[in-house]
Amino acid sequence: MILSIKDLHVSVEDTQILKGVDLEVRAGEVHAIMGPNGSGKSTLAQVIAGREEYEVTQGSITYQGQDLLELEVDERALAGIFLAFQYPVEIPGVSTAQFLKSTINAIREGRGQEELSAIELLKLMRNKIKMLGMDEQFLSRSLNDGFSGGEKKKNEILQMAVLEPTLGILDETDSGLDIDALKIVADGVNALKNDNNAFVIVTHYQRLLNYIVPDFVHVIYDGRIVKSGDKDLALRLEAEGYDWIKNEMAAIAE
Amino acid sequence: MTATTTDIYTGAKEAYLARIDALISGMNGMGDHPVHALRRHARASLDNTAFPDRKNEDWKYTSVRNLLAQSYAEPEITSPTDAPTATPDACTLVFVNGRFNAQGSDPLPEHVWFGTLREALGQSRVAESVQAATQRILSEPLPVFDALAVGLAPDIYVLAVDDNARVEKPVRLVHQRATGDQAVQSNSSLITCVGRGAEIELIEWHASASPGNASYVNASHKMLVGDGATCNVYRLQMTAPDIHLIANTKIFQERDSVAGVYSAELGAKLMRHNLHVLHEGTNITTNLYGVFIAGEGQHTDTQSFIDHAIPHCQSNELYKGILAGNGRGVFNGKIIVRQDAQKTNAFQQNSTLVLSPNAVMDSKPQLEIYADDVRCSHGATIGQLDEEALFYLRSRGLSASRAGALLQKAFVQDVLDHFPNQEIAGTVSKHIDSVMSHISVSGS
Repeated sequence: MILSIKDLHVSVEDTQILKGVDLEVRAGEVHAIMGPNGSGKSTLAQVIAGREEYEVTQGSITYQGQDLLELEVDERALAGIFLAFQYPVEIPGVSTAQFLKSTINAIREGRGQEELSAIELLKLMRNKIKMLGMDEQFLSRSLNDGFSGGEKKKNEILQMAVLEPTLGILDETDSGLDIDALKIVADGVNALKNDNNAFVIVTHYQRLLNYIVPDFVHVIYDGRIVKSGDKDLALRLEAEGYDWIKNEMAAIAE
Repeated sequence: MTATTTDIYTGAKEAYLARIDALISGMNGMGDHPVHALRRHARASLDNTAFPDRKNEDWKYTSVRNLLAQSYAEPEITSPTDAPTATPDACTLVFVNGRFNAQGSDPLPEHVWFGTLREALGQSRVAESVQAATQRILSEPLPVFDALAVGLAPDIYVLAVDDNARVEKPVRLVHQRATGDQAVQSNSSLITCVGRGAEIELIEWHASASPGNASYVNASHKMLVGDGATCNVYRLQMTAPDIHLIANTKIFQERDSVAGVYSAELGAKLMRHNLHVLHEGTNITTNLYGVFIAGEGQHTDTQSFIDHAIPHCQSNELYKGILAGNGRGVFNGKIIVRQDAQKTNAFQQNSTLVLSPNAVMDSKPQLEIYADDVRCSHGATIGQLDEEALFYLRSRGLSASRAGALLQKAFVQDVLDHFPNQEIAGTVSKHIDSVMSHISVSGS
């Protein structure tokens, strides 16, 4: 078991956002989390990554047998969790290559591995860039500084590719991407996917799931996972929208 | 309280006047020789002014009271304390307590002349430009600390670059203090004349590895940048954390010239840089870029003044600082665009990261614009590290302290990116890294 979430309640500034989420993710699985705006799907991604503004009021998150909520943000990264941001942060003055070097070596150090030499680092970065069909000039530019939306998302996938996480979480990485960029993102996930890792893909649209086939699709509504199924559930949501879910929920409530 | 304050300020003035008098009386028989004239000019400048207290607007945030109250020993003549560390390939000139030390210095590069003002006036190669520079200095009163440096420096030195010469290697001016048990007050005075169409890079290197016994260093550097000449000065100041340093830089720029001052103020207990640039011709470019860092017990103050007096000139100014612990920073950026100075472009920005609740930054842009067809802008920001950026970096496995260090470095990086000599920027960058690793431990 990579991730086990039980009865998770989360609030932000006294507003309850997640109201009892249960989710189990095993090695080799891809989970899609879908839901209407404001349902809490991004909150779930942020809480797993360790965003401090989100307060867990009840429930637990267990990651590879350890209590994830006890770990600092950077400790979670060292333990193999990677969050691809919905809005990657621009950091002028730090080149992408310099940033990747720091992060790769921090993670290697955390895992008790030796630092990579400058040549090994460059080789690794170049391989991943090639694998993703990206441009090498990425490396010399300041991190996300002046990048287009698509470039920022590609950069997230590049980081994920070099850090090779055990649990990759994509927080609406597909939003605002054209089909070409979407394919790069999907190819990245597909290339990284293996029997020992897992991905949780938070998305508003079914489109990405044409390229990354999920094993499970979950619908979050009003802070709870209200429906789980296979990829056909995503197709139905795409065709019919979320109203039928809302109606079913209303019917249960009555 | 007022009475004591007055006593300290006037007492210090009298003591310094007496020291200058002693020096002048030792110059008997020199009459109207320019060295004599400069000393007397310095004395008169000091006599006609007072040491500034906090009521003086330009000294509102920096008090020199303790500096003046302390007693100092006369600096001794000694040899260099330690060999300066390697920098980019440069020709090094060593000054110990303001006195040139030939033994520690490199041979001069081609097209560069260096010597005392007295020697310079006897050299036909440089006499004319040095005369002109001296006349300019004599034409207006010297600011008070500049007057001290010119009045008391063991000698007034001249660095001159031949017309149309391109000096390939930077010339590095290494300022050292003689070590001793007592606090000393030392002064240095240099006049740089960059000939018409010439190009030179200078590195002003204020360094001291060991504690400085709370000594007080006062430096004066006057630069005359000739028609079409380019002179870039890199200041790397990383003196010991108990040193008081007041640097006075004045640049006279002639038409079509480019002058740049690229500073890294990384050390000292109290650092004050008075940087004054005067435009004397058209189509002049002035670039002032600096990084300043102050941690626990440190105070750093940059006062720049660009006097746009002539049309079609431009100035660019960017200073970025990082304050930690109870460090204090001051930036005062004065720009005057006089009525005749149409088509002036003047840009100024000061941004400071304040890493601790006890650190204080005072930033004061001061633009006075009397011409109507100009493009001028200024801005000042004071802030903390961006939480979102910290979270982003930490989510990639960087510890909070590493993420912070990376963001701090990134913050000042664009200043370094403006250095025309990137090799020097690389050296400065390394020193910034080492200073920052130190202040972030003892700092916030």
